[in-house]
Amino acid sequence: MPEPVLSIRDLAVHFTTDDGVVRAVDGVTYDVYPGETLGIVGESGSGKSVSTMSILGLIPQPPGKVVSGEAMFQGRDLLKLSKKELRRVRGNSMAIVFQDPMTSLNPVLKIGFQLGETIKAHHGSEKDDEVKDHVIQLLRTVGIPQPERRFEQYPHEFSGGMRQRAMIAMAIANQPALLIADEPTTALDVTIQAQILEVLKTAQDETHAATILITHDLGLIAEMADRVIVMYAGKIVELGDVNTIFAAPRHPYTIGLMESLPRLTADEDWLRPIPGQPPSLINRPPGCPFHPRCFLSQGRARCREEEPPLRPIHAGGTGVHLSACHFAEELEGATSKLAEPTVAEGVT
Amino acid sequence: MHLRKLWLLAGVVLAALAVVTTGSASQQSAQAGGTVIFGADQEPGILNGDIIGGNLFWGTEVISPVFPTTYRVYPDFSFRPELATTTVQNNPFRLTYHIKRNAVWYEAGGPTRPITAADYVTGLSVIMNKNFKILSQTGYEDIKSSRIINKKTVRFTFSKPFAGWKTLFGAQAVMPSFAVSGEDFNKVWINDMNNPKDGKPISGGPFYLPNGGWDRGKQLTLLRNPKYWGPKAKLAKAVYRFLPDTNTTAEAIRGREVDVIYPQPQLFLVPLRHTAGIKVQVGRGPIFEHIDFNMGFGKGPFNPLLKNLKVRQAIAYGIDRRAIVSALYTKTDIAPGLPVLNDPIILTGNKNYKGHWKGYTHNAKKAIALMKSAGCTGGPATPGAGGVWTCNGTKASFKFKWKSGNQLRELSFEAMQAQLKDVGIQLVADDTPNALSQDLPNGNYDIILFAWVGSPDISGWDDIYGCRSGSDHAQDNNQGYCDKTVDRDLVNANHQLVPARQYALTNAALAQMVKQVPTVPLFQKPTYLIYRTSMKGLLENPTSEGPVWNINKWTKA
Amino acid sequence: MVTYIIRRLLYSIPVLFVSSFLIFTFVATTTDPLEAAKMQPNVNKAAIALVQKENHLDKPIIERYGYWVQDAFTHDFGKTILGSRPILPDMLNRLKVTLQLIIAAEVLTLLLAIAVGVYSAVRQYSIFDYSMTTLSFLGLAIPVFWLGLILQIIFVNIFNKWGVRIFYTSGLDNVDPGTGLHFLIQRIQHLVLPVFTLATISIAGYSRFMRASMLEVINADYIRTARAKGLIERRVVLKHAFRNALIPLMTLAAIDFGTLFGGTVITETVYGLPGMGRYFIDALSGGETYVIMAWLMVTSVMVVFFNLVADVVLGFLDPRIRLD
Repeated sequence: MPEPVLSIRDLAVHFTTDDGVVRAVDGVTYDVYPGETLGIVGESGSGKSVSTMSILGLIPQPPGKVVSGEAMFQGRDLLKLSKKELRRVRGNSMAIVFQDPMTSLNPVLKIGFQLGETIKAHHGSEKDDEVKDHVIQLLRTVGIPQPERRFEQYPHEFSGGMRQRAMIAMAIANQPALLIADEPTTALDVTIQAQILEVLKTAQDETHAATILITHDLGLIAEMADRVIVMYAGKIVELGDVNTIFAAPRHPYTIGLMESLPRLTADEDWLRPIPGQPPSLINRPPGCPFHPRCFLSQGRARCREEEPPLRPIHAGGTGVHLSACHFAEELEGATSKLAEPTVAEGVT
Repeated sequence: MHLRKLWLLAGVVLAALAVVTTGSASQQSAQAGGTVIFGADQEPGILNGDIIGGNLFWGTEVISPVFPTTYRVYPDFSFRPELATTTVQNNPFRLTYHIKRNAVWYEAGGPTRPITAADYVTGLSVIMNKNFKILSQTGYEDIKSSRIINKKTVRFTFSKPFAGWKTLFGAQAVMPSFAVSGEDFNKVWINDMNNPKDGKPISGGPFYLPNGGWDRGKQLTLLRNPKYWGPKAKLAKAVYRFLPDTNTTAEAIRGREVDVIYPQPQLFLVPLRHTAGIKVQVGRGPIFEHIDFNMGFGKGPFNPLLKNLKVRQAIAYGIDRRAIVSALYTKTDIAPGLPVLNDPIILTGNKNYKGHWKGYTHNAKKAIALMKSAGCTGGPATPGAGGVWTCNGTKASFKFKWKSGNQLRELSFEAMQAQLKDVGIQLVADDTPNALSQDLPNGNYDIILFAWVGSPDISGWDDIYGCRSGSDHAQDNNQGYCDKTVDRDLVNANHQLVPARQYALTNAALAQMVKQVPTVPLFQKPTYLIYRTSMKGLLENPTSEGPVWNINKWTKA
Repeated sequence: MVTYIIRRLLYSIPVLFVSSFLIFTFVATTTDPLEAAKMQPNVNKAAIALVQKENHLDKPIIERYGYWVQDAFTHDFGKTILGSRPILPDMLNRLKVTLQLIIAAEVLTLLLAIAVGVYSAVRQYSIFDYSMTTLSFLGLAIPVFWLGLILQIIFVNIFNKWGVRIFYTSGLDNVDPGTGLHFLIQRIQHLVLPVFTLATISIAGYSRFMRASMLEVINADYIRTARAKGLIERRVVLKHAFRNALIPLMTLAAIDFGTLFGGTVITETVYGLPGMGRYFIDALSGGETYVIMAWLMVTSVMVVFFNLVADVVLGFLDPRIRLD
């Protein structure tokens, strides 16, 4: 195995609110290897975005705070860098593509200017016409037609898809080693989504960057990811390569996610959501965070009392496969089964 | 970096300002030597005091140093001749003016010309010209004919005697004929005091208004007339700065931005009386407050008890005028020396003042005794014992009227109400906004509190205190008061041309009037002449002349 | 853009007519310019009648309004009733003074309010922010005339105690203002206190507005993007946040500036400045209908004009807006 580009160990991020401390990320460990696409999947509030934003210092520092952990990137712990040093990383060797390109671009500045800014911020010696050429080249790379004209336009003159292309262009402008795409297609319609995925792939090819793809869309994961992390309530519940996860999921939550996808072929009248609500991240019940909604738990005491560790599973797939479930082995062959959701006692 | 640079810049600018201004502060006073700066709270609209729109007080203050006047009123209310002396003849009434030999008109950048009889005649013809919007023709309209005897002598014959003749041919009534003849007087001396024929400033007084001297809205500057025929002005300049807010003028005089101000006396000005470098002359103004009784005039309704002399006297003894004056002016330190006024018409400060009402000092016991002897019952036996008198079935309760919105009068009412309550007389507040414009002329009041404007010319009071008859006599007597002796004396005073005799007749009328006490004078409204101690020679003149009456005598240290 | 401007200007004409008619009726029926003259004892009635006739004071309101419209166009707003003096030259002089006052006040306001507002937003809940909030509320609550008086007292006291004349407390110029640099300096010394008095309320209000606008922008997504690009914080605040937060403030400032024309009455009265505000008050108490109308026309035009400027400025600052 080559050296990971990014190594996160025991990352914990808390938010202090009037109602209490929200443990948004509660002990997360993973690696990202060069050139791969790591998908992070989960519901809203699972901590998937926060875990990546926090290592770049992009969460609001009050009320948020990184309470523990380390994030090794290019030989340095990002969490221990000074503000100045961290700024040199952002947009440079690590870049983010955000979810909503309409609100993520400054409406009163020209596109060309905004892209040029990124370059100038990290390559201050480059001259203005060089920067302009560079930007036009980038626009061409992401497939924006007539880039010279588009250079002078404002975000509101771009369509949704084009804006996202521009965002991607902005992210790859300085040849990042790691690209983080946070829900890059969620705000776009389906037909455009496919195009953007293509652009992302092109971007990866051009830069050889590793990618973290954060989404709740399993289809996207299936299409793009090499490995997958499933997050729930601020923790990783399953980790493995994409094929294994899809063919042989070994966590009730992962199974629930897949079951809840609407299928064109299946002969069903009703969708199958995971029953119950995600837990409060302030007062988490003891034991497994998922047990109140788990069909596998069936009220077993161990689920209620003991928090399951993230442990290796042997499900016959390639690479590392981890699951945080006491009874993961019981899930063998579970994908084909239409599991009956049993609501355990005490669930609200 | 931007913000820091801004602060630095601001600091530098302020420092520079401070350095420069300490220099300029002293520069200001060195340049100003010989300049008096007025803080005027009103700006005149035009500088022609004869036509409509020209009768503002500060207009007079600007015009008076520039135009000569035949008679000037002195602070003791006497008329003294300035431009000319007069010979008076009776039957027919004739005035012959002997103009001073050396009196001349100055024209800046032009020739100096003598003031002549023609100037008097021109003045008359302009005033009587019905095409010109002349504000008042009183007295002039009685002139039947005029005759120029020689260059410095002119005679006017009147169709009937005019008692106030000393007020005739004052400032801007003697007109430079070389300048004004043939001109449309409605357009003369609007923005300047120039010769309309050549646009050069003219003057017959100690100062003149140079071209460009009036910066509208800001200030007006007069310069010393080098050819003045009287005692030449010692100051080189007089500047009138227009500052409408009294607070501002008070600060301006404290900060030496102005030298002289003439505001209405108010409580917040009192500290200036005790400020180093500032002097306040408290004068007794020509406006005096008084209460009048309705003795049966108009439609009413009114309380018939006021027809009874004893009731009126009881009220006069029951109120404590000294206490009122003390509360309003002594205790507040606004005008500590202000006396009670004991005569209408002839006021304190006038050497002919006799003070006939001085017998009416506060005497509660006497008031009670008077009411008893009037046949009233139910009142207090001793002052303050309570109860209200009833006399022949009518309660001694009187509606007390004044014009709403005047705090001073409200305070006066409250004081009198409390004082009269002690002697069993009830006053009920009855203030209305049109007390003077409607209630007074209709007799809709019992007792009314308001002010008259006194004048050095004491003719015309028969209009107010004479016996009203038909449509020709005493049309401003709204009290139903009539005493034949008083009426006769006041009418005669109106026609009496010799001042001493006029005063004697008026005083006789007053001596008679006080016996029936139809009115009770209270006090004269004080005036404030406030100036820096560097100014010398100022003397308050409470007549309509205002403080500039002797401006040619002022100096600045 | 040009058609937009022309259209806007055309719309404003009926507005001006209606408002001028209403004001004319109101003023003409409630004031009497000859009141002071009539109170004079023994006044010459013929002269009063002459003035009335000349100024059509005895005619019905509609007819008088018609005369005014005619005079406004053909005779530069006509003449005053007392003294028949042409109105326009006087008013222009007053306008110059008021313009100096409000331009200086507006510039000062914008500079200070923007600085305070931006800094308060960026350092939200800091001591600076809290103290500026308190000062703002004080500034909004303090009556203008009181502030003016206090400032006058302070600077007179400074002069009396230390002999240093920092600022003058009344008038526009000294009696002998001098020339050149000396003139400029003493003019500034006269204007600082009135400008500051006038600006206080605006500074308080604008800084709150700027702060709120800035806070709204600072939490926007594109600011997160800017930070994610690795830009230094100052650039994020000034180039990205500030630029956007400024837009609503500029619109407010442009409209506010138009209304300032009529709002300087108190400041000009307290400081004795010969400006439009005082001109109006003097005319109102003197019943000079034509002067009031002329004043109204000028201020109306200013308000309309600056409203238009506000829209145009907005169009320039915000590329999302198209004016047509």
